[in-house]
Amino acid sequence: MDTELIDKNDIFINQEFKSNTDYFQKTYQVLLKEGKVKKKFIDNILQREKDYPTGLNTGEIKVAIPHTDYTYSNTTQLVVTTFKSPVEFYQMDNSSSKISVNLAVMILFNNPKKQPETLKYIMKIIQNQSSLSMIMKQQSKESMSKLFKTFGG
Amino acid sequence: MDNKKTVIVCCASSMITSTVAAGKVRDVASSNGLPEPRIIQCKFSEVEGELDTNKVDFIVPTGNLDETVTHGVKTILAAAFVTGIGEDKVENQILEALKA
Repeated sequence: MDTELIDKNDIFINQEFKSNTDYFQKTYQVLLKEGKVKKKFIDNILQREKDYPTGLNTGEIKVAIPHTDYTYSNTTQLVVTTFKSPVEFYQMDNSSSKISVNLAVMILFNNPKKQPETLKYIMKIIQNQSSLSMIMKQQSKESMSKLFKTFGG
Repeated sequence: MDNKKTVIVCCASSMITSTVAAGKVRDVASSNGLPEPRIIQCKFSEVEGELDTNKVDFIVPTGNLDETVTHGVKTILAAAFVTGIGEDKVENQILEALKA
């Protein structure tokens, strides 16, 4: 079902970032060029991450799920980025505690109707360490895209 | 006796994680044969307003909800529903609160 939730162009593998702000800015530049987010997206997502962080302590492999209001996106899609070295994010349930995150699954939303199935799909992935481990192992956009199709089962 | 609870399920802003948590609260009720609670799903910034206009039994935020806005209402942190870690514990707390 969810094949359209992943766009091969927006899979970023083994990326090195100085900080999560660096990650947000670089990812935003690509998404803006593609017309997938609005100009205000960057300010909104940075503020949102500051006020309400999205780092999740999911176990050995940790994931962040940054997202904003649907008004700042032009599409409904996941943007998957694996980090070469872990990037620090504050934790969703404890905004004074930083955790080292291995990958980010950014959620772009422009259609609330798609929300339930999208959520089910994401939760299934991030709550499963072996899925996260498989994501970390992928070395090409093609194989990553295929892997996400298998999660859609 | 009507033991229908009113629960606020809330998240930061986008209704993403609160949708997950609201589903879990409903599941806990139905799988334990309890009446389906009335769920008010809202943003953190709307919690105070909802408390002013509703009689709320407990609050289930998915992230850090500022204590100053909960007006002393019982709060059960439900980040576990997003991470999948420690879900049982939170489910039990919610079950207790639903039965109370």
